[in-house]
Amino acid sequence: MTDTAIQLQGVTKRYGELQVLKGIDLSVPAGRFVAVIGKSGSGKSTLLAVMSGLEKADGGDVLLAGENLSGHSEARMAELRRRTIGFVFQSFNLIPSLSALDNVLLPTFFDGDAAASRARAVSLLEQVGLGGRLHHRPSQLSGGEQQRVAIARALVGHPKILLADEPTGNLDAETGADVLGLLLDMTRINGATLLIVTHDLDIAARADMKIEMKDGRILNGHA
Amino acid sequence: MSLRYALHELDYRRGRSLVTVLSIAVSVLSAVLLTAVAASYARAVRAPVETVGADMVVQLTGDIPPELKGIVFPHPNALLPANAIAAIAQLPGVISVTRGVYMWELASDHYAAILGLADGEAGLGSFPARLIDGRPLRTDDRAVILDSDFAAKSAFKVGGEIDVAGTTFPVAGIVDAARGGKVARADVYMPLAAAQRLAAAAPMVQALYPFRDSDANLLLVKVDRQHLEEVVDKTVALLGKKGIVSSELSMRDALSGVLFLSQRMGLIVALVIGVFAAAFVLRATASAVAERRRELAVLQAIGWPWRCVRRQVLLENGLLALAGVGAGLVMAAILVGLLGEVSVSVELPWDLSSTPHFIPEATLDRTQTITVPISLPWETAAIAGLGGIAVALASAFALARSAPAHPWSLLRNE
Ligand SMILES: Nc1ncnc2c1ncn2[C@@H]1O[C@H](COP(=O)(O)OP(=O)(O)OP(=O)(O)O)[C@@H](O)[C@H]1O
Ligand SMILES: [Mg+2]
Repeated sequence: MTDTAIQLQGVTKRYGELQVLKGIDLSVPAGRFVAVIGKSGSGKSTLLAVMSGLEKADGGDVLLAGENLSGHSEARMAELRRRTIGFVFQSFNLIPSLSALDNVLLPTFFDGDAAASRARAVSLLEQVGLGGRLHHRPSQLSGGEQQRVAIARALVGHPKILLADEPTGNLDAETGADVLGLLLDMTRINGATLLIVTHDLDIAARADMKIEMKDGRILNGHA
Repeated sequence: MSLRYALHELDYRRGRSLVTVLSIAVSVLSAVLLTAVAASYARAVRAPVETVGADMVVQLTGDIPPELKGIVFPHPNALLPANAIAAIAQLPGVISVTRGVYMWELASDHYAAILGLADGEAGLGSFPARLIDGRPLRTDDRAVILDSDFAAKSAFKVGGEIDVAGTTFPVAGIVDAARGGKVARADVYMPLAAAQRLAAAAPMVQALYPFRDSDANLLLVKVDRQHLEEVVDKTVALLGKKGIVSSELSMRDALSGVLFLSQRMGLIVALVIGVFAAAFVLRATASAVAERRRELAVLQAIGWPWRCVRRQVLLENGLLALAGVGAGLVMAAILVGLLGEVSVSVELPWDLSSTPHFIPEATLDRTQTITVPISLPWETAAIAGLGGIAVALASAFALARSAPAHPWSLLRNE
């Protein structure tokens, strides 16, 4: 097991004419809380996409927990996301037809032990304060509650790395602060590395490490 | 979990699920019902000729005798040339040829339609099943069998006697008039040889034809059904313009006005409905997949390989198809049960059921009502069922064949 959770070397990415990532070098030690900041359109979300293999980098290498993503098949990438990465999105992205519990269970679909998965999902929902809302659908939950479900879902597979793209962007300040606190606590409890893309400088201030992006480049390597 | 997810998903989009299920159900229902009804009509069309135990009735148009007196041949029953009979018997697909002599006895005080038949399934062999009294006839019998209506009208009984053109015959049996159709129907049935002798000795037959006591004027032909059309065509060609060849094919004309004449037509209509339903299912699946692109991208983001995402879409569509096919089959079974049977009235052409119209009391009702039970066509049901499921799965497979190139773009915040 390596001590470097995320490592990027000379990563480039373009959409048509637009060069979105212009050679990113980055190394995030395991267990840290990293904030990625920068202007809109600077490539923050794209960076997350490339890290998670949801978008393929055009050039350079991405290593997650020591594993180089280049050449991975779609199925292999999916497995890596399932085992290594948890996602939290700005717009929650819960499945509207499923209850909170089923949403959390969704990533465990391929794990053998259904009873253990269920116990973990219930316990995570209890930890995020939704022990009484297991069978509610997303439409029956508030934004903050939905994001808590999303956090539980991101953690259900014991990920080493948690990627969050403006997780509080759709929440009011107070709820956002609660959710962030929860995210930090839960990450710490689970011993994961947390990388948050945010516009919120207060959040950035609390991070172990701050990465500022501009125009597809990282301005500063470390904070 | 994936079944649970599928069920939740289908329930969540209840409206569309219902419409998809219904469109599959309706196409399965129409395919099954149309073929069921069409098959029954096809059987009904076959019935008039089939009731005589044959698939084809062969006659030849002749002339009207100079005097309507004694034994005469009705004009659709001219002497059939022996070589033509032999040629028909040789046609590929012909199983058996039963020769007959059909004639009228026109006496001053009575009238009778007389049919002499050779041995065989369509001939004398057909009587045992229809007898309500007495015994069947042997080839060398000098006795006759009477139609029950005719016997009742003239108070003939088994054991009694009847005079036909000056010859006295013992009455050996009576057949049920209600059973059997109206083709090759007569009042008096006798063995072929006896009828041939009567015809050969009749002046009004000899005035028109050189009929000898080995000739016939009616053929009941059993044909391998696969060759029926071909045999009919060749027989028509053999006999020329004057030939009258009746079969289920010619019966279809008598049934005009009935919408679904052939099984093929039923299948074509069902196919058209099926194609529309398939297009609809494809569209519904397309919009379902499009609407859920983001949701499917979420599944990818949380680690579902695309083949599992696709399997999920397949499962959902498969469930819809199963429900649709099941509902369609159940509805079809219920409707078939409610309809129960198809009943058609056929006005038989005169030459198949000739009676001397100039004798009022002899005017036979030529309308035959045929009732055929409708039964569930298992083959079509199976094909329609599998077709429905195949269409649903194929459209799901086609639409979710490959993973989207940029799932991330669906997940970005907006
Ligand atoms: N799939 C795509 N196709 C074309 N252009 C894209 C695509 N994804 C991102 N871009 C472009 O790449 C640039 C960087 O986008 P990205 O989403 O990474 O920015 P961001 O830093 O996350 O911005 P924001 O703070 O507004 O979320 C933008 O100009 C965007 O329009
Ligand atoms: Mg962004």
